Amino acid sequence: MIKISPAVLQSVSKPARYTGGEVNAVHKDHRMISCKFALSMPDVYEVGMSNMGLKILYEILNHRSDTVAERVYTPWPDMEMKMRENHIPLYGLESFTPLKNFDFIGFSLQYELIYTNILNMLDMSDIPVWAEDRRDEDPFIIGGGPCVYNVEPIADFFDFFIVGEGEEIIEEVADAFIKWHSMSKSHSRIEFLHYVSKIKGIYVPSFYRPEYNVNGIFKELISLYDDIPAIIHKRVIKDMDNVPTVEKPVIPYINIVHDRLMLELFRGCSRGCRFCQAGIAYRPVRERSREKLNELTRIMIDNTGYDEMSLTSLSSADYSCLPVLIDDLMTNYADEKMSFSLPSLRVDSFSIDIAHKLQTMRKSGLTFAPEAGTQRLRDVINKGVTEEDLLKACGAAFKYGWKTVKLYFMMGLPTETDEDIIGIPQLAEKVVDLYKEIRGRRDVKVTISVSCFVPKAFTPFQWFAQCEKSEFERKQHLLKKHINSRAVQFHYHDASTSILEGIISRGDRRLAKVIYEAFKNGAKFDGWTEMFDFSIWQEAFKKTGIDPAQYNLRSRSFTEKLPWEHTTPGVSKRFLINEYNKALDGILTSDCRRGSCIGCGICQALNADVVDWRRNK
Amino acid sequence: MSVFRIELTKEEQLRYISHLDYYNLLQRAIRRAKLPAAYSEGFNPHMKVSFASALAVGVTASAEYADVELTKDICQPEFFDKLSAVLPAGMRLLRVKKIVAHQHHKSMNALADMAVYAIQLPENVHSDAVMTAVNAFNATSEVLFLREKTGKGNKKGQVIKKIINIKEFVATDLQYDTANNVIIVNIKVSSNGSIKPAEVIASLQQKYLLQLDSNNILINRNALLSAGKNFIDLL
Ligand code: SF4
Repeated sequence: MIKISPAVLQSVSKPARYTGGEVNAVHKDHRMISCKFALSMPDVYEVGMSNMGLKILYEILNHRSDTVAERVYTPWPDMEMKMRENHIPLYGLESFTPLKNFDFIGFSLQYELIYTNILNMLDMSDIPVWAEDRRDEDPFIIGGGPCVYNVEPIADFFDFFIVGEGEEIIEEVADAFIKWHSMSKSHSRIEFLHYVSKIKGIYVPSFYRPEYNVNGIFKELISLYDDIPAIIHKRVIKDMDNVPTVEKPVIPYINIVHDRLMLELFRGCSRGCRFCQAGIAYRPVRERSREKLNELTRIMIDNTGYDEMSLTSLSSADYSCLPVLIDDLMTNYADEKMSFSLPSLRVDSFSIDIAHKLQTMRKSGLTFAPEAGTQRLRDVINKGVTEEDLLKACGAAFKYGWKTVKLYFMMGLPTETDEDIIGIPQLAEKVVDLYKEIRGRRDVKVTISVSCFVPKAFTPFQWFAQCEKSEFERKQHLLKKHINSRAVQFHYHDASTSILEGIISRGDRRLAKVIYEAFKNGAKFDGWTEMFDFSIWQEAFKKTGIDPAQYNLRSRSFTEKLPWEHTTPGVSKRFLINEYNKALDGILTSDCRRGSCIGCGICQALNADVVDWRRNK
Repeated sequence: MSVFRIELTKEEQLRYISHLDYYNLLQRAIRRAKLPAAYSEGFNPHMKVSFASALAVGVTASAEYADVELTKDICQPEFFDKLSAVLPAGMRLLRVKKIVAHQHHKSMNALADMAVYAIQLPENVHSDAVMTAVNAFNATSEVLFLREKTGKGNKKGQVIKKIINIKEFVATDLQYDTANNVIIVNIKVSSNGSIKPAEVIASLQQKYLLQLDSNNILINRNALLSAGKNFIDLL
């Protein structure tokens, strides 16, 4: 057990990140345990503790008497320095056991810009960062989460990946480990990897070898053994009412990013925005029943004492029983002074009515995501939102008394012209005018927040080239020039983080060298603007002789084999090509949630079905 | 309606949390205990819990005091048992006293006039050197200290400097317990401001060249008093 002296703790910011012991944290005696997991989100405590997926796995694993799960997050650089200085290895927050002594370290892969943190954490744990260098006694390093739909850039650092939803498969992995451990004579790593690769949804990257064409473009992935699948389909939970979930979340001592309960209404979103990877990754839509949600609410509140709960999902307003559920919650918890919130709002007045109902008076800003500035481009991306929808929603909000609206957009979308960019401030100014019209005053604030588009694997836009940095900057400048109203504020980020994300998210296995090099030269917390240093990455590309442009700036052809196609959410390539073509023609595709199947292929591939209470009635 | 005064600890596990975090912990515990807590009116209701003082990050306390208002009248043992059962590690309920309705109670915040701190020094510090510094500190009438604070509100980002005389805020001589290597300091608390125990140590370091790693000291508030009495006995 590691002990950290007050001299260390009192010399770093927010020491409570490193001391554990929170309410509902589970402490087990490792001597009585056959399978030990360390679960990590490779980011700082406040971010990692807010991750829903890890909360779920933590409870499922700790529910078993033969297994333990502990938490570990990335130490902030001040703490990292102190730990390295004092030779303190990274440890699990529950038992202060060094990570090296666990059987598995599971990393939640939420976005590409935390990859260097993973390498740094392994290094701080004295575990070899390259999978091939690990010895039999080292833990298995596993990854899961949204980035598994292209894990090739980090494939060489991991022993295996879990593709898709983890609730069931994590237990299968634990079972497999316990069984193998008691049976095996050699206890060799590779023996277990073969054993675990039999589980559906497990991808063992070292069992495959990529080949490249002479022009340096990815050719194909060769399976090195006969008994492993060529394609790994994601795992999916079919019945959301009967899958174990969060009931007793760990309550942090310090304020975290999402410091409230999270109630997952449903999984998936099939609105079909063409830029959105989550929309494909979590299909089909599967709702929880109103009864189940009421039951979970009661349990979570009783177990935590929280007075705030967020009704989370990809598009919570789409939940078929939302009005009745909200009535239930408002009546049942009025005396307990609970407050409920929706994390995202649909662009319509229904959502505004709900938001109004939920937070009767606190009129903190409303956020909408029209994503593009003109109707033409919104049709290209299949964002089924019209200007009328937006103005109606804002109008409803202004009548209720809101005076701050935040609008999210993207720039660099396929087919985008300057007109589309100029359309963004124009749309914002229409919202400003609407406020004046309705309220007869000018005290409105409209913030436009514009991110740089990153094409993602398994979306209809996976073949498109990303914008160049200079082009993003030109567009940002153009947009700024066209803001006339002082009520409009423009927020944007340095394009280089999106460029790096664009390179890695459609990269192949060769990028591992670059990521390693960047980590060696001090890249960490790349997702944190103040910590990000693009020059480290540029240097890493130069040193490894890898041209990043082939990954982000190149348009790919439909016939090209893509490096990520073997870890799939189950979507058919034909559907994606079709969507790509419809995008160019500005033709919309409808939502299959309550309408008919539009043939993305996922339900068939996974033998799953949409669960929506309004549709199923 | 009823009001309970509680005396509870902030122990090692909770050393590094802020006063607000500590307040939130207690509030969530009260909710888990299903005590009928009273809330303020309005659209953003707050639980009616008021603390005697705010304790800094890094400081533990042998006794914190809070007044908790309930909408119903319940008996003391019920309150004590329900709350005790759900408190997190590092927060122990020591005593609970119901405040009788006719008992006029001023806010504890206004009544507190002295805090007793124990400052545990690191092992490697030489006790003779500490003794000399403490004696010199006790003998003089003025120990000036430059306090630097980062500004809030419209002074945000600015560093606000102010020279204070530490001795003005120290109620009695410092006591040094050589056996345990602990300095005991009685600090005056009032509406005219106060000082932090860490500032006493910092001034000892600066003025008397006491060599010690200030990150390596551990501070505990032993008592919080009003006219020589703790807040439970005050009732
Ligand atoms: S297969 Fe059909 S019903 Fe299922 S998610 Fe795809 S489009 Fe929707």
